[in-house]
Amino acid sequence: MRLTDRVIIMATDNTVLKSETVPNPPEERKPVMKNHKPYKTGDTTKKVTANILKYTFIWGYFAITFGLFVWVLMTSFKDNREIFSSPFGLPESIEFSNYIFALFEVNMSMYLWNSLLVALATVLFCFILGSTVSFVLSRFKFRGNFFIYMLFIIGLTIPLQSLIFPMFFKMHTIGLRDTLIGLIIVYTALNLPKTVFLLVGFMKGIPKEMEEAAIIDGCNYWQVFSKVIIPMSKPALATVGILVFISAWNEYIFATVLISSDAISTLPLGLASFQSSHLSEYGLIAAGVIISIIPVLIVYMIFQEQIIKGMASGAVKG
Amino acid sequence: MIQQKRWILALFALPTLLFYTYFFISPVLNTFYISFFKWDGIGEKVFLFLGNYMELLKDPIFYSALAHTLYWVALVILVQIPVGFLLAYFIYQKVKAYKFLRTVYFIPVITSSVAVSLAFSFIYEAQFGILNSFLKLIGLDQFTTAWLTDPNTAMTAVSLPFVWNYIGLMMVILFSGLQSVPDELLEAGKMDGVNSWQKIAYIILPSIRNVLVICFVLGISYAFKQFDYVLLLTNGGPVHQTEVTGTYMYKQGFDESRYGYGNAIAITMMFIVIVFTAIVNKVLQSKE
Repeated sequence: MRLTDRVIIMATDNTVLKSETVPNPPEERKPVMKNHKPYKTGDTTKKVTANILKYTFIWGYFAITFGLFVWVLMTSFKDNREIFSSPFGLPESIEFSNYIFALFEVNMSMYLWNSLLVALATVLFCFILGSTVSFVLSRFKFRGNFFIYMLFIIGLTIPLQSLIFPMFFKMHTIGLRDTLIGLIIVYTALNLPKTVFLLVGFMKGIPKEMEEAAIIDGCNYWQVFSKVIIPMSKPALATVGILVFISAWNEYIFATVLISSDAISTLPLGLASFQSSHLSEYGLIAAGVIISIIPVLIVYMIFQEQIIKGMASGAVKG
Repeated sequence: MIQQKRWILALFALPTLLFYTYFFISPVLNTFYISFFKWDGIGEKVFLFLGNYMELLKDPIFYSALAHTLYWVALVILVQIPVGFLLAYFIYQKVKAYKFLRTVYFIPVITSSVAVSLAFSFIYEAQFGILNSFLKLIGLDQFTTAWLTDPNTAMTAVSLPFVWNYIGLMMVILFSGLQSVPDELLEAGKMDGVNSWQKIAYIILPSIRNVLVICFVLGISYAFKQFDYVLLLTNGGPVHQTEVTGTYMYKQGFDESRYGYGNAIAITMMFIVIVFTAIVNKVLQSKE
């Protein structure tokens, strides 16, 4: 108990210290560029034109992106007759028949379940395998440390899709092709470089005093890892978890190469095969698209800030 | 002091290292290895040494696929990054509802390539697709076409989802760069009376050079590795008109059972990406 108390106190101290030293978050920064003063007469037309261009641009791009989503949503409530007669019109009535058919007749619910399983298992594997090695790489000096770290960094620079052939044959050889566990293993391997990069980067920033306190209290390595480092790495783990989840949820190329049974297809696979089997049932396909987007959209809405920041920081080397 | 021996630490790292070596490093090395052979995936491997690479150098379809991939690189540099920058710049100026706009702009990035492909296949659909319906609506019937199968339009049509998909990501990365531009610089510029263009060209762009490098590197690597859209929308057709290096590699392996040749394409792609990355780093960072 004493240990945890101390760690918590130190952790809170640390965060307080940090939030005081960190400069004001940019959101609160005074807008330097915005000119609130009334425009000088000579500039007026120029400024107005510039503003019109600016707003046309940002709302035009918004209209394209949002409009596409809304259009697919509209289409998902229509049947073919309505789609052809009024492609842009609002649906005559909100009918969920396309959704019900997609979920239960063409097994979208099964694909949803498979995708959820694969994505969550990949996140779990990445957590376990990534955090242990990151702990050793970030907190201890030893010969070969840099070399091992570089092995993961090199993994970041390789276009992963160029590994489809060896991955396919490896899984074939060990008998895991066309199994969910095989797909989970491949996704874990492909996401490990990113995981290790982000976790090592974060764990290096955890102050040494944290684990020294734990060591004085007689903790062994495992306890330092599980009671100090992991709890303190929660923000980084959250970022990694979300990034890995989204990438596993959306992945298509490796899934189509490795999985051939319909019963274990993931959502992207199901959606793609769905399109070829129900080629001209546009409303149904639109419903499938919406069904596949909704879960990840919910995750995005909840963890928006974390996802955006994580993608930006993960992209630094990813 | 910890009462345990240091080698205990190896127990933490070892499972991951074994896993990573077996499932990642070994496939990478295997790609190299197989690229020196002629192999159909089942039978004997025939050692060709550089034979696959020699054939690649004389393969006209590979060159056209490479040209299409380089076209994507150009689109990244000329469209994706500039549009991403402008969006980031306007959002940075805190236009009305900027947070909402940013949320929406980023949605394509988290959407699966299959969903995006299906949505775009609706846009291009000959009979009811947005594009043709819209053209008919404004009386330009003569321009309607089957966008994905018409050789004149297929490449552009298949490139759009790729470009659109990552604009949001570029925006977010550039936005984080813009937030780090020092206020003093902007104030100084304001006192000197620079106009907007001068401000962007002489103050902002030089300050975010490192972030620009990231965008370039990322965009180039996506142009080479992201072939989902081509595979799903046109599968490289009509007659290789939309073939990119990724789809060509994929098809050489899984459709033609020429795994040695496919791996040679994979290695060439890796090589080009690394060279491009090095060039971008050199050009954009040398001025420091």
